[in-house]
Amino acid sequence: MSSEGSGMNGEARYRLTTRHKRFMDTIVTIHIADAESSANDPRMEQAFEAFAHVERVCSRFRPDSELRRLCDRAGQPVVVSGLLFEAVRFAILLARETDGAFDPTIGRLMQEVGFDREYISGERTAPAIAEDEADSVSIANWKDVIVRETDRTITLKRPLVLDLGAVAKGLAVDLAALSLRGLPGFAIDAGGDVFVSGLNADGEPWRVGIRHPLQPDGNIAVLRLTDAAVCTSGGYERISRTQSETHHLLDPRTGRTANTLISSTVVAPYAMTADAYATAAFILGHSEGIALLEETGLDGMLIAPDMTIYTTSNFKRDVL
Amino acid sequence: MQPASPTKTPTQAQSAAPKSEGGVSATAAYKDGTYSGSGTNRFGTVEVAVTIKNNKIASVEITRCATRYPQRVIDKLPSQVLEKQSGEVDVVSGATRSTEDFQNAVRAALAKAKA
Repeated sequence: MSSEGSGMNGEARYRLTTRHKRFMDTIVTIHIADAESSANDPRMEQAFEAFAHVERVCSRFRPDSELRRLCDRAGQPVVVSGLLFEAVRFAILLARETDGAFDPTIGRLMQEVGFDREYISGERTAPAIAEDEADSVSIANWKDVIVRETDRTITLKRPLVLDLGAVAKGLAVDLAALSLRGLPGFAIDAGGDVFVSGLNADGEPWRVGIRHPLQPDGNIAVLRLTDAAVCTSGGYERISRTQSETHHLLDPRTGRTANTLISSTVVAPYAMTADAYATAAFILGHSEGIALLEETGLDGMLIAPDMTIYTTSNFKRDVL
Repeated sequence: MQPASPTKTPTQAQSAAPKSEGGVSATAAYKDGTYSGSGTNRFGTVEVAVTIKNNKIASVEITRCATRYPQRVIDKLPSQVLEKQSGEVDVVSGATRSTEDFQNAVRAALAKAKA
């Protein structure tokens, strides 16, 4: 869909062009604020293509993805594309930093609790795992993934299912942002992974609402931002098909849903960083989560089930 | 959810090419063409155009997205971040507002595409 409009008050500095497409099991929306209509700007198409590309490489749900082909070749070093290498390298770094609270080898566990198909189409596309491999797969963790920069290889020491869900979408947003560089203002929203750049149609920094965890149509805070990514992870989003009390944010250390928080928001220079750290903080809980963000130099807000709100010391800086 | 209707007559129906990936029974055979579907929930209505090529979803484009962004007054929230509540936002982080209706819209379109 394509829509256009001008900013508020009839005194818009720029025209706002908005398009939506579906990639990576979510809805991707791109807004461009420019003096001219951007409906036919090739950069819009290129930005959407970034999502298609990352999906072809990193999807756990596509049998022909490079990620799935890597998972089919456990036990040997596999030379991978630069994109897949970066995504896995970053995920493993964060796994090490969080001592496994964040763990990209969680794919198998996700399948076991019912996340075995695309959320939107409902098509079951997860790989089957042979019975004799099942035990090995369920004890696999991030330490079984060897990432070697010198020859850009990844070795899976045992059969396992990588899930780059908390990394790939952010990476795609960052690549899409590269395609849109040079425009006076744009905002990318990939199912809640947001990146904003330049100014909105009113010539002001973008207003990014943080979804209220208990009121789906309300915001709990509004940030004024530019040239920054915001990602919010919430246990309210994706519920398992088979276990209604299970949402998509599993604690790899226990195999169960992480339940000490209901929402985790991170502001970061890149969407990949924001998404992965929001997921990690969600699993770690408020105390360790805030500590992780402060150590890393990121801003964030964590919300407990009783609506207690925890923020990093600089978070309020961005709040409207 | 509203019933879906094809926007475009499907192109030449493919003679069934039931492709099964790893014995997954849910793999359906679809006819080439572009199909529309719509879905509604309390946040709005979404209409999609699903294009099928070679029994696969080649693209899904949202053709209409009438999603409301009502801003409720949030009272009694114990928080330092609610110093000011803006009524207007450009984009929402953590929003999955139209995911359910989108999913319904895609399913409606796919039902039309079934061979």
